[in-house]
Amino acid sequence: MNLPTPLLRLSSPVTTRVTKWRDERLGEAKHDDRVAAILGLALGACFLVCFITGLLSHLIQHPTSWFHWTARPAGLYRFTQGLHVVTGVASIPLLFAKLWSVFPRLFKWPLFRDPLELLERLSLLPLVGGAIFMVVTGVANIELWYPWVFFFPAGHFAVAIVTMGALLIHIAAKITVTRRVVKRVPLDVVPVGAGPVEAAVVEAGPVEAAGVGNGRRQFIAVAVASSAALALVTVGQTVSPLKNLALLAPRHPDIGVQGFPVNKTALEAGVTETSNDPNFRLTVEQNGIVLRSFSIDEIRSMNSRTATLPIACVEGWSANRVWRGISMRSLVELAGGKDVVQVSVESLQRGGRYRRSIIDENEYTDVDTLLAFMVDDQMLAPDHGYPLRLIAPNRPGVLQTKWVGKLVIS
Amino acid sequence: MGRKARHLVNIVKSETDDRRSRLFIPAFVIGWVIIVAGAMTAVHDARDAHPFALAVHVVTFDLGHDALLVPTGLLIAWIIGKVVPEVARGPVRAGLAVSTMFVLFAWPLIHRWGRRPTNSSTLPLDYGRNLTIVLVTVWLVAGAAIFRRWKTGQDRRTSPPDAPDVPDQTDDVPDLTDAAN
Repeated sequence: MNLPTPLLRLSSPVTTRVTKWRDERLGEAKHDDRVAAILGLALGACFLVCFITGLLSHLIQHPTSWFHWTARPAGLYRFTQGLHVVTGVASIPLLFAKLWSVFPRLFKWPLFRDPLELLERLSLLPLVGGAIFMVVTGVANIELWYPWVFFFPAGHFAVAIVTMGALLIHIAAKITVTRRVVKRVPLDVVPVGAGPVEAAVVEAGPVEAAGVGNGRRQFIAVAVASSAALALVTVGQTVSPLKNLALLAPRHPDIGVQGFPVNKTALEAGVTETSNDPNFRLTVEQNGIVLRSFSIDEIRSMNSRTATLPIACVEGWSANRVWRGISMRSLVELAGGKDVVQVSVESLQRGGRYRRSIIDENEYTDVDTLLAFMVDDQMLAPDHGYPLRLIAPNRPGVLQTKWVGKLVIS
Repeated sequence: MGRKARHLVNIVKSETDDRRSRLFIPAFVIGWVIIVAGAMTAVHDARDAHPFALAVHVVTFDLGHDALLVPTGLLIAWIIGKVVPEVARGPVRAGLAVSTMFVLFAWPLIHRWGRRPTNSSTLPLDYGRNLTIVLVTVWLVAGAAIFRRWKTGQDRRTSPPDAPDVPDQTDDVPDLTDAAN
């Protein structure tokens, strides 16, 4: 259903000049359909990977009845979250190159031909605003800078959904032109009943097309190279062999207390006194009854095990470390815990969103789910969770609870 | 390819390729359902997500891009077009765009806005020095590109008159002026 013809023909000196400016810009290689399509495909792939890996991280941190995360392979979360941050960072140059490429199309006149096109064009607001929001807040988050009132994961997650919805509409709207320009279908087979403009184009010939192709390639090459360069100077925070190239990485996998980064220090968590209390005891509860409590010396004297496991932060840094501690399952069985479905691991912290985390059945039965008291042959430092911390395979760092004081079995 | 011919190509494309595929209507409906679902997620989690603040941010980023960054980019591209020799125009625009992107990315790091005084592992590097290394690399690459273009131009001028025609690419230089905005 098109708008009435008189409305479609509405124009003014301003719209005429803007349309002329737009048409001139569209004549440049960098604003070409093929540039927009290729950058769009690359950006769409980055956003899709980012969305899937981000959704995965969200589900792991907010368990549902239908989603169960696996304990193995131990480094899978490290990989997916590293990929999330790398693709997010790499998408920045692609996003702005794409926006620059398509900017003249914003000034289409008439603004829309029918109500569907109006709604499609309205979806550009959440698409463009949402995409910029995602990369800006994502970068600020990995740089530990929060100049806003919302809780980052909640805001980032909600806007990600909105952006993906808008992206789906955009893909549907542009799939025809994308297919044609990517497959290089010749223009002269497209228009039926071609008019003088089409005829002029067909006459332009292959030599001139080679020139515009060169301009396109240069524009795309700069965007892709920038994307790769930005990824390269940050990815070393999770890919250790590239750590010396991590010039702009907000974290370095080897820098921090005991040689790796810390997210929350003992001082920030307010546990400097309680974690150093000589009367510290780990209590194990089930059905509201304390089954048993252990002193730290009792725990250290038990049959401990060593496991090499990554600590993988949601902000993209990660590091493999050798941990020594007691298998959680052994400790719970020693305390007399029965019919274990899940274990709530509680920190000595008095507050905070992450003072408690849940170990489900998959993780509980894994022998490498440890209550660790040593890392790399050193006693845990207070900033890494002294006297005891949870370390389990394939979990976000934020769920590897530090300063563990209580286990609640259910 | 001349600017006029390319202009014609793009007009034709714009006028012939806006045809909707069969997937458009279903994807359109599903897309809007997902957008509403995202908005409802923010409303449902209002205490953490602050939906109004999110909406303000999204609109601000959108308007900031369209009304501020792009015009600024156009202005800078125009100035470069006036003051930089043609042979260097493309690499200078690209170098400036890439440099802007790196500077904006590194700005919070250099100013250590996220640094926590009691946590030595946060923002631990000398980001000012590192950014300088990155920018020097960017401009070395841009300089190499300028030299290559200048050399190609020289070779073309000294080549025999019966040499095969090479398409004129002078106005096909990349223009990424605000690619990092």
